[in-house]
Amino acid sequence: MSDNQRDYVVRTRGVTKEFVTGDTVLQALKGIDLDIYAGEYISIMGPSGSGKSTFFNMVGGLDKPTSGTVFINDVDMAQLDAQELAYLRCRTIGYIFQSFNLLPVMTALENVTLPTIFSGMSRDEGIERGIELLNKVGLGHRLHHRPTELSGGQQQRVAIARSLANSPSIILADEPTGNLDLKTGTEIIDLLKTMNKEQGVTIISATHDLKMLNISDRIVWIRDGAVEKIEDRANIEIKVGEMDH
Amino acid sequence: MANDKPTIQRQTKLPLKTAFDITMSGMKTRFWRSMITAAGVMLGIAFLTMVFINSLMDWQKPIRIEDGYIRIDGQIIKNGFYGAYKDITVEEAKRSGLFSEAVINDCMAENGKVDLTKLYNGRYMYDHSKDMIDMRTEELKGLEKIDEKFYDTSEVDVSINKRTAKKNGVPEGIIKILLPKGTKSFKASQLAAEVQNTPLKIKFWERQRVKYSMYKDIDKKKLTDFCTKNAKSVSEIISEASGLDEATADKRDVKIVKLGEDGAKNKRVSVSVDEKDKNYNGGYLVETGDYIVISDITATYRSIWLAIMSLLVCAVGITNSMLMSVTERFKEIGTMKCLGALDSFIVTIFVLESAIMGIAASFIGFVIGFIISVCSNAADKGWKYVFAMNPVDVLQIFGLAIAAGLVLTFFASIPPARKAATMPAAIALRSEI
Repeated sequence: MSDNQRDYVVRTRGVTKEFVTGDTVLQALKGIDLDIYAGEYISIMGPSGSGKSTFFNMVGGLDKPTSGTVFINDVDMAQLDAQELAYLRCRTIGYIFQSFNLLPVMTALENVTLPTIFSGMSRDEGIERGIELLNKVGLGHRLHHRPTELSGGQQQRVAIARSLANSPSIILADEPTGNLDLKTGTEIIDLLKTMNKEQGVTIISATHDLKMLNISDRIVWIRDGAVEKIEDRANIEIKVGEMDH
Repeated sequence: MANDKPTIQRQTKLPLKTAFDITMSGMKTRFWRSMITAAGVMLGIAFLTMVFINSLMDWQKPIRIEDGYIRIDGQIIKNGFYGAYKDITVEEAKRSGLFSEAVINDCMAENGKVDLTKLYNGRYMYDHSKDMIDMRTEELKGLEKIDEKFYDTSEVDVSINKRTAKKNGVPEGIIKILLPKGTKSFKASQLAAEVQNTPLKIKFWERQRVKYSMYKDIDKKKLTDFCTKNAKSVSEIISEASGLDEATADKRDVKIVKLGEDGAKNKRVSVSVDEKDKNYNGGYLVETGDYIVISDITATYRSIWLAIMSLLVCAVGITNSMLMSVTERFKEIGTMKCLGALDSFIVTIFVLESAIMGIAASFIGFVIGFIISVCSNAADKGWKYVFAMNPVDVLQIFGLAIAAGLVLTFFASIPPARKAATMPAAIALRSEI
């Protein structure tokens, strides 16, 4: 596969992040350069505290880097004002969280419809889109249930449907299987992969779930706030194969 | 540049209706949580309403004058004459340069000091007598014009009602005298007596004018200032009264005084005599068994203090409620921001929520406070005092209660909502409550 023919969707250059608490300065990220192609399924792997969630927040525009730049579709995020950033979060990026982060006062359908309200879609259109997405994630029969009435796996499906509401080009998934059991986790990973293939959406997933490795196009290993290595799936598959012996 | 890539635009602001819908559905779902938040507002406003509604009925609380004693500010003092102003020495009176030798001598009390109350009244009596002469002279002119046949009593003493009296040219002032509140007609003989008496009354007031003419040169404004400086406080009156010899006190001559009549605001005792003269003016002879109302400035301070305290309690309660309802939803706010909500939209949602809650809770709080206040006063004093409330005053308090609730919730919700909206999404998402 020839990389130079493909479009970059995310590029980071020298991204650092420092957290200051009192006198101590914690360097969470120590200069990360990473290019992510459109339509890729990429996993960011690393132990707890390695900085992957921090990096994830920088890419998602949820936090600002101390130095360095993040480009989304060739746009420098640091140059965007609050309104432009909101536009980006609304239409270009979909978010999936470890703890699902559904709004507890809203039904599954309302949760999925919310981003379409923010993007200015009409109510009917939004509801139509919400039903379509919930059907796609296999929750067509649970439209009017609240998050508390759904299982963890079902909640994460709602979250996936929500992240796709405005047809984003990127989905950022922060430990999407972290709160789920093995079987449900596998289902969610499969669902993500299906979305990746069918919709061509770029999926960036921070995880330390080894099940992710099988389906990722590339795996970025982060340790101590720096990229340790980037591996293609081919190499990983061999490793997994070896372990199966 | 790749054309198929989405370009970044500015996120459009959503209409208020959308925020309103989201707020309402949130409040409906979170009904009991919202009710608890609203309860804080409700209690505060109910308290505030009670304080104010009570004050409307307060002034009518009658105090019965016991035989030989009167009460001022809850304390029983012996009956007697209590001047509004302290006695001053002759020296002081002379030094002020306001009073002539004759005036000072006229007001000399038994203790060798100048009775300032008498002096003050004297100055006003001079003006008053002049006014009375004018009034009575005018009335006399009117009376002289009336056809004598109208009040001829040689055959029968006819009853005359107000309308007939007016038609026949009886002066307003005379009608007022002959028709006290509640009566509908007077006898012709009464009018005849007035015709006879009016010249005597004019003579009486002319004598008064002569008697008080020595006071006429005193500058009224300077006198008021001087008296204000020498006004007695309530406690001074009480202590003075305690030292009074009971034997010398004449129970038919209890005089209620109005302290610091002009200007001595912080030392004022205002007196009105229920069912006798609601528009009390100056000294009044009160008889045993009369009902009087004595409201004292300390009572006003007390109610202002209560109102301020209730407002403070209200403000603290509301702020706390709003703060909690925002901080416990940081994660939700973070999520909303991820989904593309603008900071202003989040602030709008919370401010709307607080405003809706503020109005609803204030309304309920007012109703609760009003009912409690009315019931307790009705039980204590009787419904008469409840119905005597001026509806305009009640409406004003209603407006005040709603405004207070709204303003307090509004201002209490802005800082936490702003904080939530402006914090980076990553931090809002990380918060765990």
